Amino acid sequence: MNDARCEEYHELVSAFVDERLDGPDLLRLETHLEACGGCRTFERELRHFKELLPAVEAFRTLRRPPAGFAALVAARAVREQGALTVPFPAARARGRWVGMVAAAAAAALFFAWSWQRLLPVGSPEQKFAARSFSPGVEVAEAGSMDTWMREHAMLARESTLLGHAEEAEFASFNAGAVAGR
Amino acid sequence: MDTLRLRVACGLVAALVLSSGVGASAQGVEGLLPPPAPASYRGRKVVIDFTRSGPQVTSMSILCRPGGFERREMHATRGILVIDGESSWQYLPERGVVLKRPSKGEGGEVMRPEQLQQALASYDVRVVSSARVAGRQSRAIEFTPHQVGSRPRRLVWVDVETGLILRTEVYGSENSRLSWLSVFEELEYHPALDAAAFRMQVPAGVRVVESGAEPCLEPAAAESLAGLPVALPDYLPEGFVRQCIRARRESGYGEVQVVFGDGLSMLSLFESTSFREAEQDPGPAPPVALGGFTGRWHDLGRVTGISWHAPWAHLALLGELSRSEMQKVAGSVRTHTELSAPPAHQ
Repeated sequence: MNDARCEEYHELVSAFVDERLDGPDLLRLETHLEACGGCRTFERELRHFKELLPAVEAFRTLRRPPAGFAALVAARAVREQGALTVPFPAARARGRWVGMVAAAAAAALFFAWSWQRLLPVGSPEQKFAARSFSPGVEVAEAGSMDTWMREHAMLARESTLLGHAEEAEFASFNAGAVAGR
Repeated sequence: MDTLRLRVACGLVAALVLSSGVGASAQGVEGLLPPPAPASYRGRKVVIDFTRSGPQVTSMSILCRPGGFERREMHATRGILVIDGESSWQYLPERGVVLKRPSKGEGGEVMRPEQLQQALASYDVRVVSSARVAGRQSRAIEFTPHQVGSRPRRLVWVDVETGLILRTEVYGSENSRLSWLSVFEELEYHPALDAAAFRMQVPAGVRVVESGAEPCLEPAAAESLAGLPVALPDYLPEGFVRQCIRARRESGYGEVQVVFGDGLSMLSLFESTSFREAEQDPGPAPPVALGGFTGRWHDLGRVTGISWHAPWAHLALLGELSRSEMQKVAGSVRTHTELSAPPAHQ
């Protein structure tokens, strides 16, 4: 992650970790890894998270996780591994391990989990209030499964249907490419 | 013989005691639901979507003030949703747009008694053991569909003082696995909130895409507005009722959305004069037989979609139902006129 060029190697690293890489791509990646500490770290993290994935799957198959379990596991992942919490389509496109890192991070953090460490609420609204304006209005978009999924979720949200409030956001962010951090 | 009678009687009494203690009756659940008490709050929520190829974890900050004011910020993507009392503004940074539409008075997530009332038609509702969520005392309510496997089972933790939904778990229709988790990690009531937080500030260079008011219409009015026949399903799963028909026509493009709900889950039937394929093709979608048509499945996470082309329009059905139910509903779709016609002579 030393520079923008590393982004293009992440997909190769993901394939490398999956043992799906060979030929010129393998040679190119190995050459890059020798010179790039950031990508070596990235590779090491992916291998580590891959080892932890069975724990994530075990968590996923729970019919009824204990109250508080998932929330704190996930929250810790988000709070302490913020850079790993962009498992949206653009991230997945770089390789499937990148997309699974957040959940694996959650599993990793579960092992170090304690119940008492809730942080105070911050005030992140302030940083957004300072952004500039540029109003302009265009007509609404035509239909596709993406836009209809967003419409569906937005309407569900307006109806305050259970669990749909965030789905509108997910639907939107899954509808197209997502800018990473 | 007397001993046997005594044992049976004791068993019945024990069963009654247990049933009243563990699973409250529907009426009891409604009584137990705290009346919504509007309160401003600030919190941070974690959401995990387990339905896609890799679990997606994200978090968001939420500010809410009674009167239809809300602000949500998605931490990972920088997406923002602002509801300013009149309009809903959704900023999608990856697309460089803000979607603006009239607010429907939403804001806050409160379990409403009428939701429960409607849900009782198709779910077994009971109170289950609960725990504190984000430091708040909660009441957990479980919604199990009468037709197990037809639609998701849900568990909802409600703040006993404010009615705010603190935590939601959704379990998949097909496999009973946890498919969605949404929970407040941190929550503070009555915080000092800056009014500017509820005004959308559109970043420079970002275009605003505005939708006007889209009131609920009758089929004839929707047909007239959109310029295409309104389609409706002849079959709906238990508890689902039609809630709204929305229609629009712009620059020759007509679209109708018919919405059905069972109190907890929603089903949308879209039809349009044209259809745009996904820019990022996820690969060949599996076909699905729909009577005389062939449709395609779309995996949209918790929501499943079917799209198909009928002689009168492009159609798509989106919902959380099991695939067999989705296929049954989509296969029963006819134009409103066809459904209104008297049955053919036998």
